[in-house]
Amino acid sequence: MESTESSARRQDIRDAFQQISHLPFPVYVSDIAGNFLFANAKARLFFGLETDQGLEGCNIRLYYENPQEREGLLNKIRTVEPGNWLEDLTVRLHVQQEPHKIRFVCQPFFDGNRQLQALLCIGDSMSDLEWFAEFEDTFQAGFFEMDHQLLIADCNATFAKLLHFNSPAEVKGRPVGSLFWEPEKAQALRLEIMEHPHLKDCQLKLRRTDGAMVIVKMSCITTMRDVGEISRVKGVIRDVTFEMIQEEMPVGLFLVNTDQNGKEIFSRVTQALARIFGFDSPDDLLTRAIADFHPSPAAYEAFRGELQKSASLGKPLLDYYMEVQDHHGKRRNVVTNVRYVTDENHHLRVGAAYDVTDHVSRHRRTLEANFSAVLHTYIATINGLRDTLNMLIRAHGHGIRKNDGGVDRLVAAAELNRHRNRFETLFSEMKKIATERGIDSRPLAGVQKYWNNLAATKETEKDNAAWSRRNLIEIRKSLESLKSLPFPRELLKNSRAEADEMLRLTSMISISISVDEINDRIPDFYYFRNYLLRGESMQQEMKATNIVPLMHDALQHLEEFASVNKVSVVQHFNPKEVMLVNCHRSSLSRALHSILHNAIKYSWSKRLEDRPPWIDVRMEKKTTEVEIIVENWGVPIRREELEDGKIFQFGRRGRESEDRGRAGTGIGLYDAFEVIKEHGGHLHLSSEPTFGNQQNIYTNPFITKAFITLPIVP
Amino acid sequence: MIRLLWIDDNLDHDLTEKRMALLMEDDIDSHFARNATEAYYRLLNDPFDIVIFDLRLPPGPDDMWNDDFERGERKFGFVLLKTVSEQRKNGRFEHLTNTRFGVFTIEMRDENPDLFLVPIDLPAQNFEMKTNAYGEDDFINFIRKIHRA
Repeated sequence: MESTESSARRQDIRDAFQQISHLPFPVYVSDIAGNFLFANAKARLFFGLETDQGLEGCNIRLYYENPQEREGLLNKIRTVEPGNWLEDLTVRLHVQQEPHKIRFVCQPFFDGNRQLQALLCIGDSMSDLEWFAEFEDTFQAGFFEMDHQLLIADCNATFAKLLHFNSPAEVKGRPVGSLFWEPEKAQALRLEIMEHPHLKDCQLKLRRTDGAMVIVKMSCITTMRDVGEISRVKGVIRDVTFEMIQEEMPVGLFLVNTDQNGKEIFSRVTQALARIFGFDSPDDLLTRAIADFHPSPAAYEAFRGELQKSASLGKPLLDYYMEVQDHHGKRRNVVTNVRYVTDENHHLRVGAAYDVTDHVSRHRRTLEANFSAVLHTYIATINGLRDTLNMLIRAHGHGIRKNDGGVDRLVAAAELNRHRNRFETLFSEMKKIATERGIDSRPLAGVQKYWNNLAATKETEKDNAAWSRRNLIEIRKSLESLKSLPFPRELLKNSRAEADEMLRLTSMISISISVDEINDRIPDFYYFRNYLLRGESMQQEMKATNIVPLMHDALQHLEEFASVNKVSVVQHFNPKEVMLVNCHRSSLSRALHSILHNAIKYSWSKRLEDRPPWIDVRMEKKTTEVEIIVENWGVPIRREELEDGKIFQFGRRGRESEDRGRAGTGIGLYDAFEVIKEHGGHLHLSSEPTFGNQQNIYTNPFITKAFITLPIVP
Repeated sequence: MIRLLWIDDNLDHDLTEKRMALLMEDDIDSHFARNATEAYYRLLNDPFDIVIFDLRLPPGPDDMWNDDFERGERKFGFVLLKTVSEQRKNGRFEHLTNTRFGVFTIEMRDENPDLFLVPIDLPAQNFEMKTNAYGEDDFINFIRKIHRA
């Protein structure tokens, strides 16, 4: 029964095939599994089958580029009612080693249970043009057709959408000029296409219905009538507005990818970005590592750190200012906005970079000019003040001056002590006479009070001097008021002379401290003026230099400063050793000088068991770097200043530095840090309490170490 | 005897002479603090008749100012004065109930309108600006004036 029914159905299929097998197209029948049942001559030719060859073993599935595609088609075909045709099916086949695109129509045959049994197909090979036309409405390009009057005869949905129309129907019938930004240019287009019937990538400005401009590139083919008139124009337009913005905008755009070695490379860039990095073409920049364009690995890491920080908050890194170097090594100042592409696991990021070099240079020049002028006046004034103070020392510092003209404060203190003793004797004499002669003792009580004050010592030398001077002025005033009392004239005169002398000495000490403070500060301002504002020249002048003599010179230069502060320097390195680093000599000298100067300045006046203080300077040559450690004992750097690197910020003065009565300027360490960073090295500080002391009690001495590492020249 | 606390980070530099002048005064018992933290703990434990605040003051080592710092606050003298004024109103700092506050700063009066509003409510005469012409005697008179008021 089953067999009879099956054979009848097969006969139906054969009849259907024979009815159309004469058509000049490939006609064939395949079963559900894809086996060919019947094929006409065209089909055999198309599939490369011999005319007399049987169809056993031939299967349509073998020709599919993607056999899965057939399954999709079968599902579609199953929905067709028996006896009906399904039209406009397209598939990609691979026949005789060549890809073919075919369009076909098919009629399905079902069994009694409506199970698909076979397909009767009429197919035809398609041209590329036809193939693409299939997708015309899904392309992101606008297809259009114009008649002889240049009215839009037809267009696809993309064309309509590009001009902000709701549907192609709204565009049809409009003169092309009405779509132009400048309608008068329609005539020029007519002439252009008549002259060049095959127009390629002609740039046009169109107007969207909402008033926005769309810049498009149009390519078209024009059919002409015999009389030289336009018959039909068919073409395609592509919106290039943002491509043009991207190319014309003076902002570099980039796509950065991670390669298989984990290195970040430029994967796509615009012309503007290529120019920032000194290349003529974007292609020259492709696949280059972005780390190569950062001035140092530390700078690159700093940038990456900021980027990761923003990324962890799900935000882009905005307006990040940095220095980069182009492939000639020239520095550029750049502001960049970057963000990781979603779902790419931080392996792909996009961004824009603005070159602000000229802007920065202009401001730097202005700042340098203005700031230098202010600084110059300031330094000149301070220098003038220092000269005046030195003149005062020369005029009134007799007996306590050193060979170089300054005040020998030790001698002055000894001298002061002698005059104190003398005054004390004279004052005792005065008190005795007052008692003997019954003189009113109240005026003497004033002198006594300030004399007692004088005995109290203050924390710092500066305070002591100020305090003594103030009390001596009061003593001098009180002595004046004794004039009217019956004291021996000679006694009063001698007492006044002693007070005057003490006042002179304390004033000299006070002035001498001020001169020292001025001397201490002025170099910082000179450094600032000369170097900080011109940091960019440092790179160009770097050369391989032995750092050992550099350190030696710095120590020698500070010898006097150290001896005034009674601090000795213990060198733990061989002065004859050679440690070559690539450096800018004067900058690195300055950095070393600052660090040594700090170590001396912030040493306590006594070290363990009342021994005089010293600083330790170590230099060690390692495989790839030179390590320098400068260690001192005394004034702490607070924990919080070290943790956040605040101590290295410009203008940041260590809170405990005031302990020495001369706080820092906030320039030295900043400068040293920046200079060492410029050299590809690193400076960090540690400050730990001495044995048995607590971390937070800053009144105890701390051991402070400055660690400097600099890459060695192989 | 006037018990005074003067809070200023420049006490050892520009203000050395004024500090010495204060120490010379027999009727003023002068105490000094150089940052907001040090000052806060002094105020927490000791009674004073007068407290003179500098406005541009560093915070000092304590974590208590971190939130203010995060908010971009840099004038910790002002923060301290505000904190103490608020807490005094809430019953803390009982020992400072009658203490008079003064401000001695490089800033102008107009730059700090909040000083004269609740909770600080500083009397106008208790504000004085640091200028070069403002001498030691003027400063001592300023303190006496606050004390008399």
